[in-house]
Amino acid sequence: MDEKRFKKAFDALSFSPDFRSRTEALLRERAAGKENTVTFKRSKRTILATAACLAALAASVSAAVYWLSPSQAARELFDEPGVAEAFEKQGDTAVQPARIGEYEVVFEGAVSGENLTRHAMQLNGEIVSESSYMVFAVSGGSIAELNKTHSATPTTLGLSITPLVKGHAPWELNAWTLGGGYTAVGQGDTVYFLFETSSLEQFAPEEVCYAVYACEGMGVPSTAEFSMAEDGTITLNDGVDGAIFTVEQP
Amino acid sequence: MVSAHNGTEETICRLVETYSDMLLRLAATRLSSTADAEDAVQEVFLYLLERGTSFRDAEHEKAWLIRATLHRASDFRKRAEARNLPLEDAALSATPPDDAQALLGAVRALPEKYGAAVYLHYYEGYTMKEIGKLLGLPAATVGTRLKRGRERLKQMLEVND
Repeated sequence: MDEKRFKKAFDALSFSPDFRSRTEALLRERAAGKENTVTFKRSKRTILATAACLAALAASVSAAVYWLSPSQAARELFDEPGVAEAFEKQGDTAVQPARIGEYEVVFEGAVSGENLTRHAMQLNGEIVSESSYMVFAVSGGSIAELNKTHSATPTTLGLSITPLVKGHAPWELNAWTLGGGYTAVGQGDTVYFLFETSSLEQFAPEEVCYAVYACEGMGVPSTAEFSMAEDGTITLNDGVDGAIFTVEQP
Repeated sequence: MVSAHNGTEETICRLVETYSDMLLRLAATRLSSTADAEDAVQEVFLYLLERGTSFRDAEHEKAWLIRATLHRASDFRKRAEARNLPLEDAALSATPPDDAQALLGAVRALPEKYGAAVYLHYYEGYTMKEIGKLLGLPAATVGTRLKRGRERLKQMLEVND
């Protein structure tokens, strides 16, 4: 391979001369808009029983009674009645608790559907009408304090969240490639997350799961955290503190 | 710790100034339209700022940007192919391609996993080990991809020549 020829070809590419200035302006505009948007909502409703209940959590899935159900969280905290109805229509599914570092993480369930939220999700600049939603609750650690300052996010908690699909390498198919995003609502010593991606139903009948794991920084899935067996089964590597929650088929 | 949090002026300028050129060329290994490559890279920057995050170090940040750009560029390409949109290559096929166009076309015709490795090695000058870290692959896998990518490029360019 002639490196000079290779470089010359790529140097000949002609991009817009104002790409940098346009991009910087776009990012500034979006950053300003973000500052004006309340992304961390605090419910004014009476706080339900969200006290730490580690014993109950470890005991059985009946711990769900101590947390808002996913439909309650979607309706009462996130103000997303469409998502709430989807959870109600799906019916009860067992919550899946896990301890990750100093946090108790409860996977409450996932649903998929078309136009379930009041906002439009975008992926690669296009409106995505079919999306998947997951609700999980995190308590413990310093969340109660963080909630007071409106700063409990996956990043501040040192957690990363991503959906995974059996047979697809986590470093190739993950929250980042699926346009993932979340809304967080703190309530007492618990923070609830409504996590959204483009629809995971497109991968049916492959098994879909969500991984929540401790990480420093952004935590983009890589071979440092995950392994995939020949049959496509995905596991967390030894030494990675986290959990993989399987999505129950309704 | 390198932070991309909050979309501060400093962060925006640093990201755009540091990575634009490399990411644009990287996206162009998968996209024949430079406008599409620009859109893909802009979306990656936007996504990074909106996620509000931080990285272990500059290498971690760069690796994330490279992978995200490759994914976005692939998404753009798949969408265009699914809609049978005319590609720039097709438009150019009426006139004999010059050497640069022939080489770019050959890189774009490579399987994606080869194209990224070839670009990062031959343009950016990264070693197999460094590319492995950037793409989350074993160095040996990168070596295989480079070898196969090189062979295929050679075949395609010989046909064109």
